[in-house]
Amino acid sequence: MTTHDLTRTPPALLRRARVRFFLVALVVPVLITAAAVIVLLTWLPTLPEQVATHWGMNGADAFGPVSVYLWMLLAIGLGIPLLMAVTTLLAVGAHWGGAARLMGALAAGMAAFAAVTTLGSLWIQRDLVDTTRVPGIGGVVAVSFAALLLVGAAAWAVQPRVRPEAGRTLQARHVIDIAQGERVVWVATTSMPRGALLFLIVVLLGLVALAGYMLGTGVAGGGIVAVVVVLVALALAATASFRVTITPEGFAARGRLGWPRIRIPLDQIVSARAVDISPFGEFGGWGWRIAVDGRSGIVMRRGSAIEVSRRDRRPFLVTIDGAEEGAALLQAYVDRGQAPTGSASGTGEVTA
Amino acid sequence: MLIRVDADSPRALYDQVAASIRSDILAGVLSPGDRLPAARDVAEALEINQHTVLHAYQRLRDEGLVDLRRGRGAVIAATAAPLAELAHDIEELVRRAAALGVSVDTLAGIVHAHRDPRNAPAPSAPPEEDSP
Repeated sequence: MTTHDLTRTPPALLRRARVRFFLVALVVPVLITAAAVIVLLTWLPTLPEQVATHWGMNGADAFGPVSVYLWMLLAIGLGIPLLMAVTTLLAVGAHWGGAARLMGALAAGMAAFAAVTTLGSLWIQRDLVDTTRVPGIGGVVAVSFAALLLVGAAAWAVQPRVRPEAGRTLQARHVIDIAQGERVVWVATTSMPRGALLFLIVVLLGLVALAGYMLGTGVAGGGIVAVVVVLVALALAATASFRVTITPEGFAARGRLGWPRIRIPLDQIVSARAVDISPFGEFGGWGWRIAVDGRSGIVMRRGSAIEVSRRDRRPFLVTIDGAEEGAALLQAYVDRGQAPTGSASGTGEVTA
Repeated sequence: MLIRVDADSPRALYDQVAASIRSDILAGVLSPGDRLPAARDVAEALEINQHTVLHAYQRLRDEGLVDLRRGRGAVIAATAAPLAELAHDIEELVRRAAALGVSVDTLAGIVHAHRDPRNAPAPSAPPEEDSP
């Protein structure tokens, strides 16, 4: 793992990945949705005025005009894939990886899902005279999910595999020496970038307003929204910032509310280094993350991070300012623990 | 923020904590506006009393390096900025002194003695003057 700078994505591969992504995440949804809309329009004369739009445990229980299906088709089949494609392209930049490929596959799958659900629901109602005799929806749902999986898998397969750049190792600026009897600790905080925090707070306030409105006007589901608001607020408060400490006992990170937390004892640590990471390319996003290659960690932003290699598990990392210093201290403790006087592994060579 | 403490050292623990933070400011690791970790967290990591850490923070406040505000914790003060500018000179001085065989303690004593007679009345500005 010494050739990190050589693992950058080759431009040709990156361009191919982008073109394929563009095809499956934008062109395919547009084509599928356009075809579905055309089919829907040709079916119009054969459909009843009011069609079943919702099925409960006992069959169809809600009815509406066919236009409901048209809007659903456009929103789920075109709107959501477009949103996924645009946010992915914006977030990924040049750091392509498995996460972008998955988003592309999902976008194509969503379009297929929407088209099959819509057309399937309407197909079973064609030439129907009595709206109380609408058939069950189970078969249509099953076929829709099958379509999502099939189209998604195909869209995944046609995109090239791009291994994300393994984090570039940052040069330790200084080796930290620990004198006999001295206790050296490193204490630092990693926080969500202010912009991201602000965005989440705005979203949260929107949810609060929605819950208040729904509860105030007695719309069903207000209670559920209120519960969601509380959960989101708790999650935000718990994970907006982490306190990271490095002590002779090892590595520890703890959320502001005391949870979530992780403690890696020194004897579980093989090595520590500072790396430069890309949240989207390697981890598929921000937060408490697990990467495609099995590394997990607290990913708050792009840039420097402490990566802790563990004895029996995949590495753990946390993005933080001053990662070089923290990693250097942890490595110093690891080195000290492995010094001949410290380990008494029974080869008989140790003469303490 | 790197903090070193040696329980066997004759130097008071709070003084050692304060010195660690001072050298982080000097090295540019901490700059004005940065928030220091809660005293409780630092005390836990160092396995020392929380009041010792608070004592260190208060000492740094008296030196004008840290602002202590209720509810906001300890924040590196704007007046700490010039310290980083001195970093190079201090390093140079210590290095030259070492080359000449002058110990750091002697050097510190000289600096201390040098400062006192020249402007004894104002070793540090009292914080009350800022408010009106």
